[in-house]
Amino acid sequence: MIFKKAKPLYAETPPDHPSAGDEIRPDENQSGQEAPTVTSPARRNRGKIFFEAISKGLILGLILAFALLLSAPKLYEMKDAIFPLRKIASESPEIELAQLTKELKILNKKIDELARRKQFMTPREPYLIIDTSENFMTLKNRDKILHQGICSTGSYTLLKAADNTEQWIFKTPRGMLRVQNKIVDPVWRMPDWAFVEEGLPAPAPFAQERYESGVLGDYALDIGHGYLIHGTLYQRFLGLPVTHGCIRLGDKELEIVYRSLRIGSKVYIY
Amino acid sequence: MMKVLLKVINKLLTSAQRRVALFFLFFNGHRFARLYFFIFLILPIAIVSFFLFALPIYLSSRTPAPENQQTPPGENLVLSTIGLKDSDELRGIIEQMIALKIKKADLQNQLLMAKSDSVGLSIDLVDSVVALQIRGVDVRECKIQNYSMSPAFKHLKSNGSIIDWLSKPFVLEQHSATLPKMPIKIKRAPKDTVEAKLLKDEPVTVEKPDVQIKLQFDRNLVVEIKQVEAPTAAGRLRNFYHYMQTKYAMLKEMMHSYSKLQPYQVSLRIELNLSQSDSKAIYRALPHQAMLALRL
Repeated sequence: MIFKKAKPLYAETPPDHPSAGDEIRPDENQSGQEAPTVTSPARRNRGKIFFEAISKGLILGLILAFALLLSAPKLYEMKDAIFPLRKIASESPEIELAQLTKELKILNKKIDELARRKQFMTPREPYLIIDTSENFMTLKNRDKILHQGICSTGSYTLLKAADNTEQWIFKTPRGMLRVQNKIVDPVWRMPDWAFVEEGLPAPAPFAQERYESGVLGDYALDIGHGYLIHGTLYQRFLGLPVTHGCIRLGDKELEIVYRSLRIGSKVYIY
Repeated sequence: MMKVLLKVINKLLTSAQRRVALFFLFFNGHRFARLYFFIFLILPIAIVSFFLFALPIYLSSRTPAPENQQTPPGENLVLSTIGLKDSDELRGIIEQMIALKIKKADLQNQLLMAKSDSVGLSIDLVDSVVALQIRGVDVRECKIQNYSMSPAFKHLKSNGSIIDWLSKPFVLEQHSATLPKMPIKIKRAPKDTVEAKLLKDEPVTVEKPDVQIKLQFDRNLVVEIKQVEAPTAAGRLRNFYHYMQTKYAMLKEMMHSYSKLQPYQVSLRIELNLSQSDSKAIYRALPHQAMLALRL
């Protein structure tokens, strides 16, 4: 009988000889005789322990490494807090206090000049500010608020025609626009989407049914690109994003805005 | 001694806790198993530490330090005086000068922004104000309730090197938030007037989303805006999802730079706490490649 000798790795499991429970298998490599090999439960158990040790170590290590990766920016920030950055090398001669004070005065003058230049950018006549996220309007003259109130702006609806041939997005343009025209008792020339939205076929471009009066309120201010500041029949929707891109105001606000702004006045929309 | 300790532990721990404790019993006393456990535990941490700490140090030591530039007389006076052993009075004047130079850079940036037609952002941490500007006009001013920033700012500010960094407007490169940039609703046109009437009767809802925004600007600046108001349960979940998304993006970027043996650029971060409506308005108003003027 030939046995494969197991190395006594552990004090707890020294299987130098097969024990009663060991499994013995015939080994056909040996000439003439059948040589058994040993796969003892102790050895299998050892393998299992090693596998467990490696897998647990790896899993825990990976978790810790991931946590380290996630906290890397914070660690870098901590490093910056603990170790100050290198100071800029200086080869310049010592500077007199008087020279620095003079420099300070020059800087202050320059800042005042820049602040003045910035202030000049604020219009010196009434202007309108529209907040599309809150649907709120502010009429100002320089830094003074003349009037504030709710309004309605674009609904951000993307309307797709039933046959998918056309689509329209109803949003209010942002930026600085100017009043192009002021209109009393405006008449609405309904665009194609107004018919599509109603489930109706769009008529010819200058068909009579395209014109509707009384729906835009008493006044309208044209701010270019087909957008208007106008009134509405649906006062209950004021303060909500429901329009097709135009700015709707309540009757009172519309009148104040119409009277305050002139052609060329600025309208800031954000 | 060990046995006594284990007995005490066994008594103290509940069965669930015992399971955890068994994990640390070091594999029934197998020395090599313990060794393998620790090797495989330390290996991923060592690899990550190498990329996070050793590699950046090695790469920074390889990059040659920029040569000292000659400063034009009077132009960069503040920078040139740093490093001198100043008197308290001189130090005070230099600090005042740094603050003024930052203010000057901020105003110049605002004027540069005013040349553009689009909406710009101005963050003034000295006066705790964030403003949306169009053509140089402050269209919305928001009070900063609270803010925090990377410690590196303090050092950059104290040695004056921040002035160059702030000398031109920052440009928005990437953004992400818990709310959509444009709340687009897709509507299919009705087939007839009956269907149109049904669509018209649908109520108009006002969204009140919880806001958490990350704005990534050029020159390694990140501005994070969080609402002051406590988020809802759904908002918390969205915030967590957004947090994980940003972390994932950061990891991806980090891995990308390390794979090319390039140092990972840690962003300078400013976190602002604003009201929900202000945060929402700012995020919705800012266009792609929006400009930012910063004063700190």
